[in-house]
Amino acid sequence: MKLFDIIWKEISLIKAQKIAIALIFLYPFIVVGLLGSAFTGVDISRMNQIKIGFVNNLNFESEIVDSLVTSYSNLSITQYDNEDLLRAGLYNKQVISGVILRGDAPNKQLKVDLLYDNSNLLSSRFFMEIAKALIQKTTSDYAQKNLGRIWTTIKAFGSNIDEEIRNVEDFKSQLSSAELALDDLELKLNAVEYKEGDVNSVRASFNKFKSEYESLKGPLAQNKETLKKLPGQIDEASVLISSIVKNLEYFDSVLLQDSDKNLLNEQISHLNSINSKMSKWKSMSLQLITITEKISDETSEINKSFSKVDAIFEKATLGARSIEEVKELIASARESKITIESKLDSSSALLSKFSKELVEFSKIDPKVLAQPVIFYEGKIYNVDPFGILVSNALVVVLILTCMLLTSIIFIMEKTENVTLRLELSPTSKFILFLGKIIGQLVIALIEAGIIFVVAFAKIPLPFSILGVTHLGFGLVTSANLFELFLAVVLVSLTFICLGLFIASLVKNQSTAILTSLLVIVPMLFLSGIVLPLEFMEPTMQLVSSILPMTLANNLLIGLIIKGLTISQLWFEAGLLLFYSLLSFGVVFFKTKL
Amino acid sequence: MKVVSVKNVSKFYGQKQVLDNVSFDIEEKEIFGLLGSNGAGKSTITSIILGLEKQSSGNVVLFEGQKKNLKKRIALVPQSTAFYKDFSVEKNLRFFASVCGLKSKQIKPRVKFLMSWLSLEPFKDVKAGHLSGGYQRLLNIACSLVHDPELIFFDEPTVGLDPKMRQMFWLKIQDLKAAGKTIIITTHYMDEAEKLCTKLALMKNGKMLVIGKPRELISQYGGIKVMIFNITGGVKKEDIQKIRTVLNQFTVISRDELLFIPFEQEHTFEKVIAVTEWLMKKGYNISSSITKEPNLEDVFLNITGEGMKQQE
Repeated sequence: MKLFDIIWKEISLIKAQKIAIALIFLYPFIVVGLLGSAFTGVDISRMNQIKIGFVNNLNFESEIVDSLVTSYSNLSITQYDNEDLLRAGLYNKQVISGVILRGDAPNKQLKVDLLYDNSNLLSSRFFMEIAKALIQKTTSDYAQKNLGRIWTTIKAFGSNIDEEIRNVEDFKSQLSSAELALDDLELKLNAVEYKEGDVNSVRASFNKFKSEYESLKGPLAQNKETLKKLPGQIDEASVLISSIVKNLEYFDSVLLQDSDKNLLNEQISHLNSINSKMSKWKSMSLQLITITEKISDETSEINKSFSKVDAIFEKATLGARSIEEVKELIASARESKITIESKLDSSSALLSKFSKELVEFSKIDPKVLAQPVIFYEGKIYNVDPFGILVSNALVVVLILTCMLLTSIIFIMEKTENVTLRLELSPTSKFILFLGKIIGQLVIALIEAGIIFVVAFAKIPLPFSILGVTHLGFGLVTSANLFELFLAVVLVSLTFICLGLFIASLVKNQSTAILTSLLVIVPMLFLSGIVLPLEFMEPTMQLVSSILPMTLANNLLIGLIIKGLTISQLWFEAGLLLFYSLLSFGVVFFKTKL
Repeated sequence: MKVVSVKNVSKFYGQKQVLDNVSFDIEEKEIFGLLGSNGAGKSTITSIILGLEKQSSGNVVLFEGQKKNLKKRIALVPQSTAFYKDFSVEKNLRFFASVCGLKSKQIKPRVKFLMSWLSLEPFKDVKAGHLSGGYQRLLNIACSLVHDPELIFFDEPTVGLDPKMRQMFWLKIQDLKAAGKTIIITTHYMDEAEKLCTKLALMKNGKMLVIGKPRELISQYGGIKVMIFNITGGVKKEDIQKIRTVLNQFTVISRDELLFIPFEQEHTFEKVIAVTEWLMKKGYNISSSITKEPNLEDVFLNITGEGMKQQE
């Protein structure tokens, strides 16, 4: 009963402060309602209040600029004439981030200056990143188009290369054929090959012949008349022989003996043979006469042919030389062919390789180069981001009310001298503190209850009030209600004990408030609620991770958002309990009450 | 029964000694007064007796060593109010009754009695902070007495009260004495101590100077009566000398328009007449005269060599 009276006393003291009552009931609504209304349904694609300005300093016409202006209807994009106007727009918050496009030519890299208002630590960089993503997307689309064109050209080039490879192979086969022809030519040359020396030796022989011919020519010319007579003489001899033959034939007829006939006939046959030979001799003599005449005739073909033969010998000499040269050329051509062939082989290999690579290359979609990565957003926790706000709001509300109210009331009891009376009372210090803490816990649970009702309920209104159509945000969570209750109790207990600790150090309410705020405000900024922990120095992150507010936030987020249990969040829960016991222990043993 | 027994108690705060070998006993149903100027050690010894502080040496025994329910048997009525200003009178009383160990059934009648006894009934639903100073003091007393203690400490109970309230307080204290309570009062007011206390202790600089019944202390240390004449225009030096010679009293003092003539106890009336007639004959206009009996102030003055009021 005594404990209940002390609990009720604590609650009554808070109730007695009208402002405190207002705070207790309004605060959760205000904080959660405002935050929820402000940030519910955070969705980049619906953030049409992102105003981005840009300046076109490109030295060429570019479709990037048109894409920027037309492609993103969910963002507000304004073009400025120059950088000064863009900066003025940023100063005046007409735009939240700015982009300056610079570039000399379409085939060179674009340079983009990203300007953003860095007087705001978190959101300005966020909006700058959006502007950056916008530019990357626009330029990526543009690059993709260009890559597509290049790809088409490469593909065409690829097929041309294949043809070139075939041409190279053809050329190689032609070379081989040419080599065969050369071989053949060489063989032929070898067949007809003669050296200049051979020609000279033949010429020498010919000259020797010529000289012998000349040497014969004289006597022949001299005996030409005699020779001319020779056919006549041969004719005469032939007539003679014929007459002899006739005579002999007569004799044959008159001879009585066969042996004699035979002998005679033999002689007749010999004479006939001689006669026939004499006709040959005649023709030969005629030929000889003709030859002699030709030999004697300077204009005859024989004599003319000597000069022709000389000419032929000259030509033969030249020919021999040419053959040598041709053979040398053939050898050189062979060498060149080998060299060309090897170079063609390497070119062919290179072209083949290039062709294969082009084939492989052409398998790559140009989109891959222009935009190698497509991002798909994947949330690991299936929860409304409003749930995070609920945790944050709950921590903020609890720390402000628990710490402040506890310390204020404790100080008030000191300043009103009530602590003296309580110290003298027979009630133990422990019960007095316990009642105080439980009383404050009840208030904290009321506030937490209000926040949860606002967060989880979704009651439709019969009519819209300033656009609000339902009460509550309808948050869904997988948190175990009992564990959530325990977590709220633990968090509140920690802040209450911290409030008691602060109150034990100070003497009046204003100092208590200031000291509490001195503790709360840095914790608020270091807890990850206002600024992400990742923005901090690693050492500070470590410090931040063990601060009561951070632990409380992590505990509640763990339960509400991540669906964890308190046993899984043992570190946060354990450390909060430690802080509670430590603060309470110090206050209990330090304070006379 | 000795309700309080303090034996050779000393207290040091660091190097500074605030109590020096203090000893006294308080009997049951006594109203014991602790007198002394600021810094005499009254609050310190009170805190030690109440158990709020520990003595550096010496011994304090309450109720002859009975330790059971000690806190229920003692109470402090602090000089400044000690209740929740945002609670009503009744709520304050009910709460303190609860923390002081009263059972539920006992709380209501006790609260009712206290409100009635201290005339707080009309204000039972009024927030304590809205009460006048006097009634706040009464509530203060009520909150302290809610558990019906046997030993009650009053710390400067009537400071800042008007005479009517002071009278009322004195009556209440006497009621408590009549009810068998043992009361310890710390006060600056000599008249209050003289009126209320059955035994007094004078303290200075942590030391107990004297202890005894008020009348005994006055007769022993109070000195003599003093006639004080208020004479328009003052008295001339030669006339003052004459008065000294005549009265054989060299402690006759003139200050501005006041003439102080200490008298021995005997022949007081005759001497008053004689001096008065003489002064009138001399043409002095005596606007008023009083006889100051020796009091505790004088006791304090005579023992310490300085007046309480001078120090204040």
